[in-house]
Amino acid sequence: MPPPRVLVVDDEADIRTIVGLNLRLAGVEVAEAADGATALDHLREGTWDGCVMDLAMPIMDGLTLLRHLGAEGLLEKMTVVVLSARGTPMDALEALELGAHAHLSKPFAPGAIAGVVLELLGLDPAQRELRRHEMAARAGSLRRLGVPTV
Amino acid sequence: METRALRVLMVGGDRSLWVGLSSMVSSRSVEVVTLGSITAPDFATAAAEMDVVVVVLSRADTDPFTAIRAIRDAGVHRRTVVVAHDDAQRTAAAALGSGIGGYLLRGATPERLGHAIDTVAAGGAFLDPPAAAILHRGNEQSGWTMSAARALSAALEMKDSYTGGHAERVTSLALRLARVALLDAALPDVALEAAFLLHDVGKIGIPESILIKPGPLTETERRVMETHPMLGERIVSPLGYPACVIEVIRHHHERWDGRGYPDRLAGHDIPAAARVFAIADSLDAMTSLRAYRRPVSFPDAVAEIVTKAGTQFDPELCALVEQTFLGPTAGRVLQIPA
Repeated sequence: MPPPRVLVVDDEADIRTIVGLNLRLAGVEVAEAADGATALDHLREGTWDGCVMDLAMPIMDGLTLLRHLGAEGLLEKMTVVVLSARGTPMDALEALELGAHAHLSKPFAPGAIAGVVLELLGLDPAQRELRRHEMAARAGSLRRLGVPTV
Repeated sequence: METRALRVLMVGGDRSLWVGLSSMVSSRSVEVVTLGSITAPDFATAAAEMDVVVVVLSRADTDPFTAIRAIRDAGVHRRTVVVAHDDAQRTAAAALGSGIGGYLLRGATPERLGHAIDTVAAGGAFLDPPAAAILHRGNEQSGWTMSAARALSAALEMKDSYTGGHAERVTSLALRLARVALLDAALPDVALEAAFLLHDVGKIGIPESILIKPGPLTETERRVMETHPMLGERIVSPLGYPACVIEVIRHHHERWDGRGYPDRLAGHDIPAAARVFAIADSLDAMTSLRAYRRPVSFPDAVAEIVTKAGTQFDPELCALVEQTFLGPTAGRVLQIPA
């Protein structure tokens, strides 16, 4: 079986390196993009098992990227983990409502990211869709309640 | 009971400061010897014979960092009381970070000076409340503290106790070389000390399966390990440390020939403090006991450093290594306070 392919999207090169290497260590094949627009081009072309994306990025931010992926039916085909800066919980909730499967707030333990991605990659497509809907529903109610946490 | 008079060396300052001092020191009679300036050639000799040294910093005299350095070089910092001429946070942080026993601001009452002398003579530490307040007053320079550096260093030690005391030892070695090599750089000792102590703090973010793996690392594991300078920079950056701290953390694995990591900087593009640190790091690695090999003797390690001048290390710094660590003054160096 070929290794899973994951795209790491962050405008900070250090974060791409740190996340990318920890995923490679877990046996994942990794490609990188520095902004949402470049990521969208990549994700439209190849076959991807997952995407780890920052939310605050130049050119196209993560929430916009998620909207495009959702509109084009690409979210159902892959696992999406979002990274958000501390202090922006509402953005993280919105990302989950838009279809992300999981969220990690920076700073995160570099070793933890691979665990989250691998667990999600291990789900079959039906379980993954269920997870996505559950997360979106929980995030939606939290956001309506104005709870500033995930 | 101690009956011998307490001998106090008074450096700088004017008569009004020490007239009447005797009555303020409660424990015993006081004998005051005065010295015009800390830069006087006989300061170290005079200080060595005294119970307590009082150094009055003045605007006109030498800068506070040179004075603090002279006190440490003389090895009398624990029994020295510094009277600062203003409330600069930098001076206070440098003095206390260097292990100075007592610290007061100009304008402190003779009574409090007497109290400070008493306390320091008894082996204690005295920080005048107004001086303590400036350390807490937030961000004049940055608000960073040595205690935060020590706490972070201890956190790493708990995760990676394999290197047992490496951070403390390498800090001591690197400060010795920095003293000789970076005299013009005007980097306060205390900032360098924080930088050296924190160099590997990013290892907190390295998975333990790699950090304490007994065997050799695979290629990918090695590259994950090599992200620790970036992780360290991210851990420390919210603390507002001076630039040299971030520079040492990020660049302590760069090599003079540009084959290091993470940024493959070469030559003088590598910050000076990081170049100094790289040499000390290598010295400590060679001379301490590791599972996979025997420690090398100190002179052999120094010789080994010199063979790597111009490849791994800055050749100008390598030229100073021998005199710093093996020369006649090599014993007269500071120890990091416990």
